[in-house]
Amino acid sequence: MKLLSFHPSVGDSFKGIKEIKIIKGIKGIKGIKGIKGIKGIKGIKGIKIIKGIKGIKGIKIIKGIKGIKESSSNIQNQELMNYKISNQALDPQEVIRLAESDKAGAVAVFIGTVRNHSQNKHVVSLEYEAYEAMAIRKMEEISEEARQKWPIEKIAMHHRIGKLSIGEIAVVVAVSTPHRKESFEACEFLIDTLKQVVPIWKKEIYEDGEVWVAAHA
Amino acid sequence: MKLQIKLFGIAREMAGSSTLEIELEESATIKDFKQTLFTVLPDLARLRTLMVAVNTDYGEDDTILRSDDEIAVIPPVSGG
Repeated sequence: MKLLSFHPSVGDSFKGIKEIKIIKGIKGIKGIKGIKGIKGIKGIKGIKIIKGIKGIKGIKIIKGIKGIKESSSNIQNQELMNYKISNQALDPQEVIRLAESDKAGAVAVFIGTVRNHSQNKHVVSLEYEAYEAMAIRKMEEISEEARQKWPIEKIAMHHRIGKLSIGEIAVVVAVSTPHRKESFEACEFLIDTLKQVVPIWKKEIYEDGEVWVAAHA
Repeated sequence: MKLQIKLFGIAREMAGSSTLEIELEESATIKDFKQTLFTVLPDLARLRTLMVAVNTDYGEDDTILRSDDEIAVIPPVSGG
């Protein structure tokens, strides 16, 4: 799959990109770090199939790159940040906005929050951990599965990692469709499947100990 | 061949490290890898399931590993 096509000129500098590794079989670019600091990339002639890129972490400032033919806000909003793992508080409004579409008559949203008990134990806090590159890839794959089943306009899924207190938001899933019924169904499928396949782990912390959820039979 | 392994969640805690290096025969499969892994870290065998991801996708028992693969040990997931 064609991912990036750019033609830098001699003398251009690529400060900030520490490692680009194409991994066999994944249609993926991995390990790009520090994109924030990029300066002086000139002559990029069109990033063509941003959709196929999986596992990019932390591309936040696409805007500053000169010469990209497609709208940067388009790339950033529609393709990159729709699937996000974050150690910052999630914003349901942002996720809803990412799923909105003029062609949709419905946006269904699921917000998962941290509850204060689990199997009769008092939960003090939660810790989430993710295998980020794979988690993003799996979110994209289950979205693709959902698109086979329902007439979906847009999907956005954000998952929190790190330490969370009671009441905080752990996950937000939003999906837009022409009519409400399929939005509810698609949303339920997305969160249910996320819980089954996306490599994210939750540790419950009690007053007297801690447990990785579902680890043991 | 030497394989660099990523570990997450309870597997990371059991190993006491988020990475691990394991030496296997060339063309070893995930099944071979798990056998070796369980001898190094027997606690992992007690988990409900243990998947192995190769280049960010779930592998099968007969998936052949290569030294440049990104390999990760995936204990039962519990996101959401």
